[in-house]
Amino acid sequence: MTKNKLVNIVSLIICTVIIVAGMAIGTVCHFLAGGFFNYGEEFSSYNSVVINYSTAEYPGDKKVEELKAICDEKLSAFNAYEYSIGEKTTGGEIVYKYSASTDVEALSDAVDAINAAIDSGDSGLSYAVLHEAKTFVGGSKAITFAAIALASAAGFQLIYFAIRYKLRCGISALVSLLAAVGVFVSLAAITRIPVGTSFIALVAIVGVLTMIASCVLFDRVRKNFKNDANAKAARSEVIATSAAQSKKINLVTVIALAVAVVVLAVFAVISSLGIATLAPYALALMGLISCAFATVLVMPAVHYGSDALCEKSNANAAKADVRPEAKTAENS
Amino acid sequence: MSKVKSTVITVLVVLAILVAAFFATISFPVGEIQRYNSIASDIHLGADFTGYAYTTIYPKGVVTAEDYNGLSEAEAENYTAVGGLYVDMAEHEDIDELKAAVEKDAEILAERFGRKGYSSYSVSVEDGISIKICVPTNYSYAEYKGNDSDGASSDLSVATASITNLAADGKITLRTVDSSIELTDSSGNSTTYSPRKDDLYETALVDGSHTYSLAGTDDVSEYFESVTTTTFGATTAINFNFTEEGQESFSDVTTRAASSDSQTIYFFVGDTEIMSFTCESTINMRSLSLVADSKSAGENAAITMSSVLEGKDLTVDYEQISTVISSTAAAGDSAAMWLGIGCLVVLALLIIATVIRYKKLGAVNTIIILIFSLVITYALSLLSVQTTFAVVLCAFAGLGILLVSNSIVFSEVKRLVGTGRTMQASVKEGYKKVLMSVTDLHIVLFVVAVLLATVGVGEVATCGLVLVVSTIASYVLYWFTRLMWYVLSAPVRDKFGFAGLKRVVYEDD
Repeated sequence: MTKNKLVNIVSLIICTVIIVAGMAIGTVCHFLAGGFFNYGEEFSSYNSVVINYSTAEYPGDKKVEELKAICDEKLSAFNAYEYSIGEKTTGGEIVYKYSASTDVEALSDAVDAINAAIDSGDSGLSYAVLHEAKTFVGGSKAITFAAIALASAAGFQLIYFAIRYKLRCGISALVSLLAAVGVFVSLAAITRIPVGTSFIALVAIVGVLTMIASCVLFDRVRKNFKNDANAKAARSEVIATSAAQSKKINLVTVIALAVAVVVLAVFAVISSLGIATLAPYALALMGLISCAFATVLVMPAVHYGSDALCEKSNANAAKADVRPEAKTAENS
Repeated sequence: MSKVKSTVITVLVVLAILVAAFFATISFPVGEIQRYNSIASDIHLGADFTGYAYTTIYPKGVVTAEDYNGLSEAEAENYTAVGGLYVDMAEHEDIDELKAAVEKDAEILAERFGRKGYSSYSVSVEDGISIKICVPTNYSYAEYKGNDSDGASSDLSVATASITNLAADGKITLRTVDSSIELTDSSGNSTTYSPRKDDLYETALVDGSHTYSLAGTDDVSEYFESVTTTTFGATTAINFNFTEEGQESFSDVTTRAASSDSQTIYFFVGDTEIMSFTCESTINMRSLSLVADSKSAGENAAITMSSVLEGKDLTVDYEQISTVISSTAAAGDSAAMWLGIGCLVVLALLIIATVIRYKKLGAVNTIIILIFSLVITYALSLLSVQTTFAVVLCAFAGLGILLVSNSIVFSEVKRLVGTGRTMQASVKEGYKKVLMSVTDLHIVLFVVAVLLATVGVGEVATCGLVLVVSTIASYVLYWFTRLMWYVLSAPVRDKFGFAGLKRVVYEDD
């Protein structure tokens, strides 16, 4: 077995294993952990400590900073995943969000301590409250329409490739698109990285990048088949050469995008360190890995397989056409 | 091309880039009061970078700790604490029943807000008896930092209208502000028609006027089969499809409305005015399309009314939404600034990489990278799309396509130079040979981007739109690269050295 063939088979097996594992883990988590994915802060339940303050008692940013310092101190034992300040006409509110698994009793004690420290009992204008919140995942319109858009795009690509290159190229591109999206979705389910609404857009981006990569590969394949220098080369060799040539361009593009994501993630961490902040960047990196895997390994493997199948059936058909003539020649 | 011509064109291009970059990135005061906000700071950003607009809706009889503290002792006696909230036991004897109803309503609201296609949003039940709704403020960096208060207030109004309309609870009613309407028939006989005066509604109309029911029954849900929206460019139409009986009944309503002084029909869901339209004549059609004030307003109306038509109206009676609060950015107060710095660093890295890879030809690529970045920055600002991390990634993907196209042509030129051709011939032949490869790439990307932009909703549609702009910019700049290559290399004697190549000379045998 040649090295190329081995790589092709191994990459297809890895792709299948990732997708199957992702589906299995996601399905199990759907029943045990409340979702196919680990839903991010937008869709997950949480506990929040809300400190309402009035401008009468805390006029100006400096006073609010003092209030925040008190709250930070009292809540330092807990790990807030998000913090924000909201402004109202008569004051505002400082909101700390904690995961649903946080010890509610201890958090309640901390809230009492904040209330004692800001001495809110009499006026009632400034006070801290603990809320337990259960969040709901919204409708599926965004997912449905994104799926329709991506499916139409894939359909267009299939037709375009069938016209410009060959139908088998379109089919290979379609399979690699499914592989890229499947691997990405599976990795998100396996790694349990928090998923929010932006995940849908990231899936679409992975799809687009895979389509671009398939354009580069099949353009190379067409050119190399047209090249006289490859006239005597085996089809599998020409495909392997094309895959190697397009691999460089596709990998450089994906790596450049990955570097961009890492740089943006570093600056996001400077702004605010937290899992919620880093989740989209981690998902984007995962998407790029899926894209690279599907375009560099899966797509050439699928195309090699489909090409071999087609050529085999063409050869059989040609044989069938030749047989009667051969018989006539024998008879004569 | 002469040296002078080359210098003049180069200086002009560089000057144009510098001026565009200056206005794109630098904000400065104009006079004592006004301020110029840079194009970059005028780009609308997602919740991660400029925060959420949020509110909490409380069922009637449920109060916050602040309101509870304001109650007299006698009043407070009726209340019991549930989490951080207080429930009037006289209104809600069974708290578990209230909790179940609120949870059901939250599910309906989550679906409504999900249909809106926000880049991020959340609907959560707090303490089992109140619903907190968060949507992106859609502020730009200038608005977020208080440098554009008009824009901030306008964006907050849009978010407030969305929250208020989508959280509307109750049945659909059609109303007018006229307490009596005079109808004149074809023979000139006039009769005075009184809308359901006994159903006088206290409404949220700006002038504080009362509204009266125009329909025979208050609930007109059976009039409509469906309510949808269609958007063409900047215009959004709300499409009403009537049932057979609904067509007839709506015709009656429009006849009355056309004869009234105001000639206006108000669409209400519960006590919330969803939309209104001027009706000057009888409308007797199976479907009706009305132009909405804005895309957001149209979507709000269609989503809320569709939800009610599907029988998903809220079951609990909630207090009117009084305030919508804007919060600081979810990813840190300075997240937007760091995102901008991050993008600049990525561009700087790309420029360094291209200069190392292509030597002097890297200068051409640098100019192209800068122009592309400016085109995207201006486009994001002009299109008023909400920029999120995914959108930024799309813009970089677009830049990637441009650099891939240039890389393909540079490689081809290098290969042709290796066959002994002159630089000019190699460039000409190289561009000719890769024309179809690059065009194929751009055609596929363009059609895919258009499909994402038109079929997708929310963030996916925005990504599609950015990819459409990126693809067009990429293809135009691909050809501009050739021009700039020609212009910049014109005064250079060693054309091969300019592209980091060496001339190959084949000696005759």
